[in-house]
Amino acid sequence: MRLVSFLCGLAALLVAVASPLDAFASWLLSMHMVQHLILTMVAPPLLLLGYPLLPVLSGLPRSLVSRGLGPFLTDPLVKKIGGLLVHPLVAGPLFMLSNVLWHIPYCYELALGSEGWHRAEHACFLGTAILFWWPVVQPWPARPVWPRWAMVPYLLVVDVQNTILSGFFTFYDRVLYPTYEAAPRLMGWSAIYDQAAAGAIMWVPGSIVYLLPAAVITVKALTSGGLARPHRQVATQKKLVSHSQVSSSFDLLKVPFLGLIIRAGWFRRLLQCVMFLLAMGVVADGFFGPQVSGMNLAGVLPWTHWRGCTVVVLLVAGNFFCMACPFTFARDLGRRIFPATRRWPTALRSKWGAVGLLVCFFWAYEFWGLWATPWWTAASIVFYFAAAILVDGMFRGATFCKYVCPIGQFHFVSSLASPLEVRVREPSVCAECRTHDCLNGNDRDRGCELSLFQPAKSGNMDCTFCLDCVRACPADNVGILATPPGRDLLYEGKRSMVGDFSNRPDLAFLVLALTFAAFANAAGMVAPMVAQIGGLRESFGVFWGEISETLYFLGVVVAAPLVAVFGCGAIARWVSGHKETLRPIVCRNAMMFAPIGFSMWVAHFTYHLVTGFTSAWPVLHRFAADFGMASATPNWGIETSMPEWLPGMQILLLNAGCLFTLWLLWNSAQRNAGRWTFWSFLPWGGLAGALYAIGVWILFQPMEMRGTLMQ
Amino acid sequence: MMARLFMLVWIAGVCVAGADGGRVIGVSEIDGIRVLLFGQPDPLRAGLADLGVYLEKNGTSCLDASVGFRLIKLSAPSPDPSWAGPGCLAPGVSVPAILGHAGNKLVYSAVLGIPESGIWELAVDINRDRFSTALFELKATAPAHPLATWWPLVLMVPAGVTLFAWRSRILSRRQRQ
Ligand code: SF4
Ligand code: SF4
Repeated sequence: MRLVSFLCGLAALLVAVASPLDAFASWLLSMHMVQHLILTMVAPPLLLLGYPLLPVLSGLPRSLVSRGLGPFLTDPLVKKIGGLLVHPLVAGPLFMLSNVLWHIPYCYELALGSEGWHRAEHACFLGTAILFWWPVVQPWPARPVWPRWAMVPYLLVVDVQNTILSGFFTFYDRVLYPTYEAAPRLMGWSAIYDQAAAGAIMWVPGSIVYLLPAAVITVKALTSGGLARPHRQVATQKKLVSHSQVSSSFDLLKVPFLGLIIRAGWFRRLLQCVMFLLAMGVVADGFFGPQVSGMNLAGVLPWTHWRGCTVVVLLVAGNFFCMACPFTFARDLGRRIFPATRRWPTALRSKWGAVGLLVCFFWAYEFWGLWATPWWTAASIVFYFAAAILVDGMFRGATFCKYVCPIGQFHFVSSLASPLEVRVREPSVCAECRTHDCLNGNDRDRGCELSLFQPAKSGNMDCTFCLDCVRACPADNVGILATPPGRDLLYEGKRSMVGDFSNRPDLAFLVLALTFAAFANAAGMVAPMVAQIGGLRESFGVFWGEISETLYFLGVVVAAPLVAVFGCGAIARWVSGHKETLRPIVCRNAMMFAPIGFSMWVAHFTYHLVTGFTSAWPVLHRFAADFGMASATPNWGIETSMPEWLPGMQILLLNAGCLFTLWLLWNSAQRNAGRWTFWSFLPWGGLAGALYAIGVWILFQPMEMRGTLMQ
Repeated sequence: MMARLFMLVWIAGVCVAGADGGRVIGVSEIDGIRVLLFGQPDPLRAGLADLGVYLEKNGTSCLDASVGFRLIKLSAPSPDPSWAGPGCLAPGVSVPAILGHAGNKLVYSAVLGIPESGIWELAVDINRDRFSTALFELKATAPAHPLATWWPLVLMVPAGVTLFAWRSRILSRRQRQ
């Protein structure tokens, strides 16, 4: 019964805010009145009758309830404030005040003229109505502060207020709200007739809603035992807790059909083949197609669609684009001719080389205008294929992925914030294992080419989602499991082949370069920065202008992060009187910036993906026509625009990244700085806050629509 | 996992199922059709504006027309381009206004980007039995700073930090006890 009541309450809310009622609210006062009655008199009591607190808390992630909401819900101060708000002497007047205030013509017109105020009005109605109905319904764990019979006068007082207000609407002979006078007259109702109808609706059904519970309470009070409180909650609670305890982690490979398909060897090959063919198409068009980026596959697919889809998949799943990588496909083909026999030199076994290449790539992107020159894009892809075949043709393992590929490094760092991870299902099975096929491979399947040993692996760093380990494990003990995003960043200890983050300056710098580049890259496309860069070229001439731009770029992507993190580390160390050397402090904390950097990349790339998504169709059409596969002329006038929800989504992404980074930094400070946690956290938190502010500023600027014909 | 994903999609769905709102900002009569123009924000500003028209003939709604909006600048260009630059229309370009766009299915509407402040003429092209154009003069004020629109989202970060600090205080107080 409670479930039905709760669901009816939700349905009532949906009817109120997302049905034609809402759409016609600014045309007919009577419709608007029905909407308000549902928000204040129907939905709140139904929701509360469902005793929603316990089911809602049980439905939330357990860690959020115990560690996030728990401290608030059990805090005496919060309980006191909550108790005060639902006290009949506070809740009743608040509800009446909200009802009267919002019906004053100035306030009502304000809500009709602005979406924001309209929402505020509804929130006010719903919020105060929940407070008002709380002492009447007394949902668990509410405790009555007044005797039950006192609810009868409580309801009657509000009914009197409702009657006065509705009487005023019904009998007043002038239109109260000018908006309705100007609105189209549906069903032939005049504005004054509509106003009277609204008053009648408020009066009759409104009064019934107040009087009915008053009558029920009176009848119950007059019959013995009618006021007894229900006591069945404890049993329900136990059942719910035990249910959530047995629920296990999500495993993508255990999803029917999908899991079987993903783990099959041919699936990866198929993905790689598709990506390889697309890459070949891009290369061909880049070299031989029109040299206008918005009309060429090389100007559209890699920079708008591939980048955008990659970050979205990294955000919602994991490193599936490494799984589909066409370069490793070419490498595997190449290995039939070049059997890799050497080992990658020890001196180069770090990320420094890849970091250098990454910085060069970002530089080339901006200054050679890779995105704007299809020919350069095509040449870069060819160069990339050659490098993958050459490096992996000479050196064993996945050397190219691990030590060379800048794209791979981007994926590895970004996937630290992904919700899926290739991981052992049951560690106790590995404890018994003697063959370690996930690492060494066997006759049938190869082991991990990146030398990640599953039982000692943690997080997604260096994992290409190739699933070789999944197929090799004889105990079928490796899955793609759900993991709290960023969990690995807080792990202090050695990981297989990755080691301890606080002892990996190369990784720390990789994360920093990617984070600062995220902001620099997005800033390079907004109007004020574009104007400034143009100004540099004008004042210094092309050559010196480019030199100063390069210095500027290196300053932002290389020098600024170094100065910032060493500065923060030194201040944190000084204020907390920490004995630890600067290097581990800097390395550890620098890693925590991965989420904010990633969120900026996602916000930026999804902008291009969304605004330029349709730009691929005319280009594909043109490409097909060039090969005689399509006849008509492409429609180059296809509409590209920015949806109104996009800036909000970008800000939310950046918010999530910033809050996540702050949380990680705080945890790190708590573990390592003891009672100096706050002071040790402060400089790092300040740096994250500064990056966030820069990010918001960037998102608020007009941005170039690269990869479309509207650049 | 699936349940949480579903929850997220649900919440996102509810967030975008916003209200239409908007009030009448102009009325015109052309070829026997009464054209009521709705607009939001009110007053109009440079930047994104939600415009809609309701067509009425002899007291009944006309739902079988095809409608387009065109913006024509009447005053001199102003130096304050809207921040929503890419979403803004080039003057003179026609944008189709459709019935399904708004929650109110009687209104032909579209979201237009008004490129800059000043006096604009909105041409509403109506193609029914014949082609006719209703003209409305619109005054767009200077664009609102994006923060004025998005401040609730930007506030989430300081609010999150405050809640977290509060939670930490509660926990440390409890530990001391
Ligand atoms: S993952 Fe499989 S192969 Fe690897 S150690 Fe565990 S049981 Fe052995
Ligand atoms: S751990 Fe190694 S073998 Fe397993 S998916 Fe990751 S990279 Fe591939």
